[in-house]
Amino acid sequence: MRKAGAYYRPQTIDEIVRLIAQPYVTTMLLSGGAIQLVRASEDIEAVVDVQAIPELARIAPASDGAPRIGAAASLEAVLRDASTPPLLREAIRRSVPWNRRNAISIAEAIEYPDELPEVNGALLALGATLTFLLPEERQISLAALAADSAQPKLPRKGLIARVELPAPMPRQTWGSAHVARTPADIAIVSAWAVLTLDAAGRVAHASLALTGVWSEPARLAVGAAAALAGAALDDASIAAAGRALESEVAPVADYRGSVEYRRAMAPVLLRRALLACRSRLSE
Amino acid sequence: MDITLILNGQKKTFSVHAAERLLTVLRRAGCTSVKFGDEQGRSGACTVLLDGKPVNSSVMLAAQAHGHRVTTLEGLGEPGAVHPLQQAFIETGAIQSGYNTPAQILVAKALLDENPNPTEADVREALAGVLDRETGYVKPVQAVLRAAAVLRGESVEPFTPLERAIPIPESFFEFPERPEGFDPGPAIQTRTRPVVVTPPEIATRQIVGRPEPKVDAVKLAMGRPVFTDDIEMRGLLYAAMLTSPHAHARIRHIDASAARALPGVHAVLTHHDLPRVKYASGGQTYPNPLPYDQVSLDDKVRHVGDRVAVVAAETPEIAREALQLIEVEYEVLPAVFDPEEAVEPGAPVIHDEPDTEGIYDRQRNIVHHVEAHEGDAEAQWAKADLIFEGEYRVHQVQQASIEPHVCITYWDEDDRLVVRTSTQVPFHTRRMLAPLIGLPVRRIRVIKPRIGGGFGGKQEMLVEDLCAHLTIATGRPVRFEYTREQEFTSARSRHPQILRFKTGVTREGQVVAAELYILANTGAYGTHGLTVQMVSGFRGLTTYNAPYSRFVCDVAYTNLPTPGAYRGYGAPQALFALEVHMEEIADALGMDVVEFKRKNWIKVGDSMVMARALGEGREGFEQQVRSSALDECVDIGLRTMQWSQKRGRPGDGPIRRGVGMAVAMHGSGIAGLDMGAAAIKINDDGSFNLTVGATDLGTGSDTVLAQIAAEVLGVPLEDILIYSSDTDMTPFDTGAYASSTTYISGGAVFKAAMEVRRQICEHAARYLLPGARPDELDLLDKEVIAPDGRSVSLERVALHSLHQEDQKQIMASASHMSYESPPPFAAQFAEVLVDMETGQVTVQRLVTAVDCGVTINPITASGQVEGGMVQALGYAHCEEMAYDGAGVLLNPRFDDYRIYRANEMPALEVIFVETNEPSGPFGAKAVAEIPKDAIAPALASAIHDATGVWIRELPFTPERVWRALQGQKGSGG
Ligand code: FES
Repeated sequence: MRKAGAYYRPQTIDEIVRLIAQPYVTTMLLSGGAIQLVRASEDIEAVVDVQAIPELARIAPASDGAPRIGAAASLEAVLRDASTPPLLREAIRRSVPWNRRNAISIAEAIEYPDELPEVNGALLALGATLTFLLPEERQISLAALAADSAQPKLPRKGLIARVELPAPMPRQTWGSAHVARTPADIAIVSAWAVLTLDAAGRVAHASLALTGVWSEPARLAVGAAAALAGAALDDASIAAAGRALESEVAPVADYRGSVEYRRAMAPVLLRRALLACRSRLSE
Repeated sequence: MDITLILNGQKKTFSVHAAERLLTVLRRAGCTSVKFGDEQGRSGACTVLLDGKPVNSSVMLAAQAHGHRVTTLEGLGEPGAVHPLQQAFIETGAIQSGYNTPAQILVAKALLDENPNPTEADVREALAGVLDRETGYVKPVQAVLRAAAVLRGESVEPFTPLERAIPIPESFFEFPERPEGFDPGPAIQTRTRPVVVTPPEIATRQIVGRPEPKVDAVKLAMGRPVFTDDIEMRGLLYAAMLTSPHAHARIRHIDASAARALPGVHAVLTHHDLPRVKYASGGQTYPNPLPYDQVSLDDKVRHVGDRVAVVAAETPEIAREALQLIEVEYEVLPAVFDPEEAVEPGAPVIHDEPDTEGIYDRQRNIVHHVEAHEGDAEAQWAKADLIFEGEYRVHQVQQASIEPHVCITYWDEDDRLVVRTSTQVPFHTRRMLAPLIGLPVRRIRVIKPRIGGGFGGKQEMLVEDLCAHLTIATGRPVRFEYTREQEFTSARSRHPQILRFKTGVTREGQVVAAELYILANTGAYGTHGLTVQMVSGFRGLTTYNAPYSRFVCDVAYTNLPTPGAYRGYGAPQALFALEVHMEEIADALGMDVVEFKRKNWIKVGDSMVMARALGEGREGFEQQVRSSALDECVDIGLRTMQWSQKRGRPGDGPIRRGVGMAVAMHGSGIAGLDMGAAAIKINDDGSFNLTVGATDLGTGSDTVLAQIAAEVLGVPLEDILIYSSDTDMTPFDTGAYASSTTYISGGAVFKAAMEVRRQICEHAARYLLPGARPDELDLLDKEVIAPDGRSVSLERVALHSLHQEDQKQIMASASHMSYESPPPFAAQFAEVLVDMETGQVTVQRLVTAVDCGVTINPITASGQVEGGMVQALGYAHCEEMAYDGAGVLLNPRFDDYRIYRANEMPALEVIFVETNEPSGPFGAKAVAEIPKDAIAPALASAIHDATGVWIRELPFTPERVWRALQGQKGSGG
């Protein structure tokens, strides 16, 4: 990155298109930057900074209240916006200090999930979808992107426009739990749950994400979610979800926690996240 | 390309490279308050306000700031005036080294601009982005809250500790319970004022004992260019170091020709280019202990991060690029990391070079073997009804000063080599450097500017020799700064140890015999390997001072990055093991832990059994305890903790609560070894220049030394102009380590000031106060006062003695050393929550009650204690250098290497219980290291109280605690 010879600050998306189309120039689309500039590869020759395009940083909910977060919005802006779900707010507040929140965009957080696994866990549980403008306009769920293990998460010449979250539903509840060395440290394992219940109090839809229990920094626990579907949110279904989770995790050890420990923590933290969901329902 | 910034209110244009960081451009523009802490954007030392919002300028392109408002500390408030935030930081003692003070003040500014009435939680959230290794965040939080009140127009009381309180007001013991919930977050209540408990027999003085603001606080609060890297030099070259990717390898071939050919490169040095001069890098008193097992650049590397080559180039970028062009062919050798494996026959021999002398057993990688004992083994073991044994393990942690090791070398106009360096040991550095670079000592001048934290890590000569070699090779000034990764892998750390205690006690709970065996890991080089472990032995065997005590120690080489001096210097390791061991014994005896320890701990009048046998690197001296308030520290601490209400009540359910305690005893300098000197002269206006060799590394020692001089000379602190330290200008000092500065250097200042006082009185009596006897004159409020009420100002004495009659410079110098090292004592307490399912320990509260003699300055002293407690908390709880199987450090970055941030702190409290140490200046002992000593065992004690499980290995990470809890379940315990 230190060899980069050109910096551009386009004013329009068309200009971005032109800039990144330059042949033989390795370009980085810069938004925020506090992670990108540390992690960017050495071969970057040109930087295209998207800060001058307001729509890329706009946070404005859709008419149904569904959060729409411009990809270049800083995590601080996301944290402060009234439309941001509390679960996402919690993930951001807990794991990223103010200085960094001001200079990390939500797109950057998604591009480097290993830096901010909890933010990604919350986004996954919330059902985030990304809208790309380039190389072609398309939508992809964060879950699908996360499951695609090809790195980097965002294609180098891909311009992500916004992150969309589903509108809040009636009878929706959420909860999270984590274990960490210190209260504001990156979680060794964390669990993020968003549940929608039907009128009878059964789980109509469960979206469960965990960090620290797969080789991916954050991933949906599909099996555990399936175990909850249609069940009342009682101790038995929570235990069943935990059992299902145990059979689907595949942790990778690091110095924060061994495979055995991570495996043991997954059901504990999922249970706590689900209990938090349940107690929120009764609030 | 050109960019335009509204920099501190003024539109300015800069020519920058596209990839250049904002930090670099701002510093080039003279905004040197913006500091460097790491390349990964985690330290926050480089914080600036971008359109009013705090951002880390090291991980932002300068070009990104084009067209924006950028505020640095230089732009705060009105020019030349102190902003209320700066004022509050000065008054509350929130500034230690001051290195990250600009960043803290700027985030506080951003916070108060949008929220004039923040809660403590808000302040902690705001400060969380700026890592602080020094203050424990207590005083910065207090400063921001105080400034907020001032900015709201409220009147604030003068900031003083609740001092000289006996008895302590009952209200002190009321502690607000924390809000419910497991995660304390930032919602803590900080009791920000230390309590000083002063027995009535300790005299109240004019300056000593007062919470004077630090003498250097204003310049630090203003972000003035006071640090090593803050000067501009014409023709400066930038150094970069190539380090070994292998834990153990021989350099078969090294080719620097491509690097040398790179335009902008001025020198590349490899082992082919430097003479092979053996040395040991630890900054220690002459003669440095053997072995001298290092050379500046070697043909063998012994740990990942070991030196391979250095480059000097016109820019840091070119220097780094040149590193990549150096071709090295390594023959990778088998490596060993575990000291138990390293000492086994057949392990790879790490120092097989024939020219290193003084290795105890080269084939088994045992660099030192120590055996020492006192007392009658047979008789004492015979008295023991019960014998307890325990093994404890402590790990490797790093000093992590936010300012890295940094050095600038250049030739002066007399062809002398000037070394401007962030060091704790300027005089040792000069002496040690001379043979390495082939210059006589007289041609070397070492200047120590302000230091951005050291903690022992800078009691070592790490960068100066290579930097000097580059200046010699190029003729140009050269700047050499470690990267953050190099701080972790190429600098120093705390020695890991395996400690085995064997203790004999009577049925009544009397300790009669003790043995301590330590197997220590000194990594690739010996440096402080001998002395740290001897201190471990002494500390581990002295608090309970068994009549028969024996210490055996093996210090092993391994292929890990080298440990060295780190604040506490062997004591935190030993006292973790000792204090847990003692509590285990108390438990086994069914005795109350406090009473068991009280029954056995060393008392006033007792001789320290191992003092003679275990000096530092050599034999020591007989020593007696002459002052101790350990009893009172413990009692006050117990009440503060509400011990009797909380101990033994863990509750049930998944979250258990525990309280724990441990005691500590440290030293004040190294008996018979440390020496400090001071010189004082009077100026025309009755002010004084005080020059000392002692190095203030942010501890406030300049202030404390100036207070001692001011007290003796009867002047306010502002009339003492202290300067430290410069090997050309100031007298010798062994340096800032071993908690020596107040006691040893303070002793020198006291003596020099007493001699100047004598000269003043003599001159005044002879010429200005006729008839008065010099010995009955007093110095007070800048006057010389006779018993009959006549007085003459110091200014008058100065002018008269310098210009008018019997002209002379009233001045004196003095040295001080001591064959005693009077121990400060402390009781440390912890309250924790333990998650029984995950093993997560959340520390809620830490209390330290400390006897450091008379506290010369309760604000700087409490800052030392608070900062030390948090470093100790990191040691016990979350900091850890973690390696893979090849000896590669896995977490050489902040956050991965976890240092507590402002928004996750437990409540911290400090209580001073004063004693009058007869051998100390104004009764003072040391305070810098003792807060590091007993937090880990206090935490172990609290975890045991909560869970019933002893954890005998640091740190108390969730997994380690979980495994211990699993073991308990497994054993049905
Ligand atoms: S120097 Fe910028 S965050 Fe460390």
